[in-house]
Amino acid sequence: MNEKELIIKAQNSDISAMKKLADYYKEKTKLIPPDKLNDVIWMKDYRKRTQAPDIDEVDKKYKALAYKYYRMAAEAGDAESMTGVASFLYDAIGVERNQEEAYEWYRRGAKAGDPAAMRVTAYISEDEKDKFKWYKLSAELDKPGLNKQDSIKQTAINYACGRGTEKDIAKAEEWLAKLDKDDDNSARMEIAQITGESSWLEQAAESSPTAMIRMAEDFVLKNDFVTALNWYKKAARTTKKGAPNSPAIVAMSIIGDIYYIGEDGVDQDYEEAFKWYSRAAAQGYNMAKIKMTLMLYRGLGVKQDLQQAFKNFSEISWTQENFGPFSPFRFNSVARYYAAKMRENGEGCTADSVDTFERYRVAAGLERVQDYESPRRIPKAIYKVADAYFLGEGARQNFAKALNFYEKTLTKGDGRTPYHREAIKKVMWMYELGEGIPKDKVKAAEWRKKLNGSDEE
Amino acid sequence: MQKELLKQLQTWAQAGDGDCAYKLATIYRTDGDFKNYVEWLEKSAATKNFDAMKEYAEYLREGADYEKALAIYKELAETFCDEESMENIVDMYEQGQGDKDTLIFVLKLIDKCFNEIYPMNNFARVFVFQTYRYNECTWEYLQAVERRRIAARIRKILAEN
Repeated sequence: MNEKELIIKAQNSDISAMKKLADYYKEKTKLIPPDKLNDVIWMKDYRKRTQAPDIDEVDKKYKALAYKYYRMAAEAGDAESMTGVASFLYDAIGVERNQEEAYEWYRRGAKAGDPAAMRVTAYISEDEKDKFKWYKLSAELDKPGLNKQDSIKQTAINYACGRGTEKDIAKAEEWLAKLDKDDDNSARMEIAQITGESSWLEQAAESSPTAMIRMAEDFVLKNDFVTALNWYKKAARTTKKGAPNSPAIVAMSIIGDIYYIGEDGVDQDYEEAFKWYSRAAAQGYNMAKIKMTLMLYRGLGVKQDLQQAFKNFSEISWTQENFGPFSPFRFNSVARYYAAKMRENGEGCTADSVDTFERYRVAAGLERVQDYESPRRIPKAIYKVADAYFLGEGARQNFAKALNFYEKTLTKGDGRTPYHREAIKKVMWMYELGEGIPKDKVKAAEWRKKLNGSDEE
Repeated sequence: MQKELLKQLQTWAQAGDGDCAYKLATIYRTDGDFKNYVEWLEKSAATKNFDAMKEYAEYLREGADYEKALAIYKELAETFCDEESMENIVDMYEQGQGDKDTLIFVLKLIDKCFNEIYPMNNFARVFVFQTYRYNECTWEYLQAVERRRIAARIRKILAEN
């Protein structure tokens, strides 16, 4: 059936046609999930370059149409469409944002029997009894293909914690039995956290590496590093290949930390630390690879090997890592910083000022996709970039840029950064002597004041 | 290019820029001009240039001027919370070139840095084991691990003596 036929049917109060039309227009919109953020950046850039017609206007039209038909179907009593209307109102898609109205539509959808609306209603409700009621109702629904794991989990947690209902461990266990192993473990960990009853965590720790790590952390808090180490090792034994950020691999890296530091009851053992870091690194965990490479670089627990260290840092430098939805393409700044430092000093490689500048520039988080403020910028690297511009080493001499980056150094770090004070001095000095920029005694005095404020001088 | 750079650096260094003085020193070091290297390194270190101070302390230590070297490392540790300087202080003590007071000073400094940067909360004492949750703090994390390791080294030394 084509669009026109559906419109006619919808106008004749055909709810199914209304829903189909709404879904059809929704498909055509560009509702971009957060993990596609980079595409958005790319798209904006592409539009700028090609001066293509603005897609936003077309997009707006489809969103408004999708909202219109969901609303028609919802008002005609369709439960699923009520949830659709609510989500459009909540996220301001094709309509102005109205949280109160969105919540009201979720409640109406829940009462009309839509499981998604029930879950949201449970989530947004501030009344514990109401929350429990909706979680339980959605968990009890019997609809093919319906994902009820979260509702079942919440129902079990509420019974175990006595939230919104009488505490009933037998019923909690009954509901937990309906979950798969991973959800069961995660529910038990949540119950342990809410109730403070460690027996739930112990049960989860029988098979869940995350729970094992939580157990270990509890012992770390008690300063019992020997028992903590045993739990971390137990978690490490659950390693599965191909999951570089899995708890088991993180546990290996933490075991390395304990040996590297030498905590109470555990002797400092660089060789053992290097072994554990290497094991985690071999599974693809870059954080551990950085740590083992730092040991290689310093010759701790292993024979110093600058060439291998430079090779490792360079490799990690170019590995894309996902640190969350808003930083989909961050590179590892620490590895880049060390690779730059080694290149600058010719350690394990030949010194090269152009390559050094480029590496510091990326370590400073200044590449195009990272133009926005990045918490992972390394102040030392920003200072080095400024210096390269100032001296014309590795980059064309540019005093204005140097000034800009010296000032940027000051916006990062806690003031203790070694180059913080140097940057203040440099800016003051540039204004004082008019080096590369117009002489400005007032500004120079301002910076001198900052310098005096930063130390005893 | 090198000549031009050298000329510029000399002008700036003579005008009092410690950073350029250090750069100048490194060029003399590469060229094997030891006299000028030491002269500019000392001048740069006097301006409290971080890199120069570190290198000058190392130079003094190699020349067996332990007292001066230790004083510079102490200043670097205190001003910048620099882990390498802290480690050097511990190494110097182990090699009979340092003193116990400076070790205790570093230990207190680490505790102070730790409390300032990571305000006390449930996880403060164990934050270094929270990689999985705090992996955004890579740089800070590595710094903290280093400081904690140095503190453990010092505690062990103090317990044995």
